Amino acid sequence: MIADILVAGLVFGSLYGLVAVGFNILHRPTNVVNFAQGELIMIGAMLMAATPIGGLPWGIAAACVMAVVAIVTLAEERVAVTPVLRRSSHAVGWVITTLAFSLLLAEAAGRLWTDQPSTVAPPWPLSMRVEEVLGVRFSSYQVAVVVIAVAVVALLDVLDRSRLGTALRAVAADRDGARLRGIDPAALTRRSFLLGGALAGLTGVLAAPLLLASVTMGLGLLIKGFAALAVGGIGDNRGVLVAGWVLGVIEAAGAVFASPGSQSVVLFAAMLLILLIRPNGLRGLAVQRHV
Amino acid sequence: MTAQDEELIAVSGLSSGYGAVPVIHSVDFTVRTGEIFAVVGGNGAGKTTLLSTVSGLLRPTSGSVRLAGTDITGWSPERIVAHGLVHIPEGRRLFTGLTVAEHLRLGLWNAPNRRRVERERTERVVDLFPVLGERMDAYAEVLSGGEQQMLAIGQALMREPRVLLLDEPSIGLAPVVIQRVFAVVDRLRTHGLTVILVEQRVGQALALADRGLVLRHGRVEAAGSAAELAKDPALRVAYLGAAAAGDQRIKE
Ligand SMILES: Nc1ncnc2c1ncn2[C@@H]1O[C@H](COP(=O)(O)OP(=O)(O)OP(=O)(O)O)[C@@H](O)[C@H]1O
Ligand SMILES: [Mg+2]
Repeated sequence: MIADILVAGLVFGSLYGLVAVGFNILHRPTNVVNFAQGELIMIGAMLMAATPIGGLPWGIAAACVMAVVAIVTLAEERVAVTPVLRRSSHAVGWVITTLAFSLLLAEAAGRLWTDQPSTVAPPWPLSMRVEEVLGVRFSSYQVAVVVIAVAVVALLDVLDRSRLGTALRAVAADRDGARLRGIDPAALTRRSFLLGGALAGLTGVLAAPLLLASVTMGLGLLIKGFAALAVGGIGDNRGVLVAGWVLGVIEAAGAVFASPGSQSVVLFAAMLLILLIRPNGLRGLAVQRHV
Repeated sequence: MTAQDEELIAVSGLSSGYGAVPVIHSVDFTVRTGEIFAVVGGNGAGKTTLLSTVSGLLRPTSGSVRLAGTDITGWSPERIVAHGLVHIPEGRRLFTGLTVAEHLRLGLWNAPNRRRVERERTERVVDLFPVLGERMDAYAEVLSGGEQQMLAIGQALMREPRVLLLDEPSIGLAPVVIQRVFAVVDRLRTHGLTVILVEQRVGQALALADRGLVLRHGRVEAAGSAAELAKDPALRVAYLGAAAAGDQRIKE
């Protein structure tokens, strides 16, 4: 049973971690936390489930979904983020505008698709069929989701040390200072939104077989992604993935030991407890140097 | 050398400020290729505002800035940097969390030939500032003030700009270190660089500069050759105090 909890926790926790990594990518050049992230992921999952795209070979379908969600995210940057930041980079108008964009996406999805959740099959040769190895039960798809989440974070680590990643860190540290070195924050912001949007699309693609794709799946992912962000520490991709796992395991344990249905309560209680003990998150000290 | 080459920077009627608050008023000056041009004045005179307007961080409310004959008024800072004018801001503003090597690399951001020249330029900067070579992997925030100023200058030199704007490079540094920073600025001249140097250390700045101007309440109070400015009796009283050696900071 412990093994079952760990497996479920790691798998769902990987999704929460990926949501939070998406927050980080968009936050870096803008200091904006994107409230539409959950609905962007929902769009990704629904495109996979309920459109002609889903009928394409999986790899091509996933690439199309990532491209579409990336473009939607870039549109969000154009209409809901950059105009607000242009007025003042310290104002918090983006809270309202990204939330409004989120509602817009939910509304559009509600008109486009039925509210019947639909199942999505994992790509061949992966399957949801549960195998038992040394008493641990898991499916090949579950393993793939965890591996992909780790790979995404590792790739972003590499990106971070590249020329582009260095420029992004400079913009995050001092926007005007970066401009005086010839770095155009607006161009980097657009690239970050494309990348973060593609990741939201991928997260939706990965979530679809696990969660059932539905037009209402966005909010839950948004909130659990927030929890992973808060616990892992904003800007720290490894931290938020680990935090996602921790929260996922706590949630899975809650479902087993507390009454089913109360796992969300257990998860948020745990998050508050962790933040009470470590206000800067689990790895708060590791990132302190950068602040 | 053509007339345009000679007047590398031409600022005319330049006014700007922050939002509705005007700070500098109708400033005129020209800087010739290869010159060190000093901008001096007391606290709050508008020196930083003037540099920020020239480098594009602030939009002028009126007037124009020309660089090598091109009107760059209203250009974005990143476009102006690409055009060969680099502004090292007050307090250096290096990036927390970035190493010395990363700073130097960023100095070539978007430079068209960056891959080809990165190695060679890095070596030249390290020749100029050996201390940077020893601390390539150190984070900027752990460097001493002097090392930070060297890094800020070294980073700017990576691009081989035509013009360097230096805002109070001596601020917060020990006297020996200040001597070294000024010596470096003097050497830059021999590299064909044109420098606009903002300083509160009027005596030292004028000793180094070819020409300059005195800014007071956002207006040009005096302008001319550095030697003339240093001798100007009104300035000696107002800024240099009794000691003509003039190493002390301005007390207005
Ligand atoms: N960001 C800002 N917003 C509003 N007003 C500002 C800002 N920066 C400077 N000022 C005002 O503009 C005027 C000129 O400031 P500026 O920094 O250009 O002077 P300075 O000559 O560089 O002074 P210092 O020698 O102290 O650096 C001052 O009155 C200052 O209060
Ligand atoms: Mg100043």
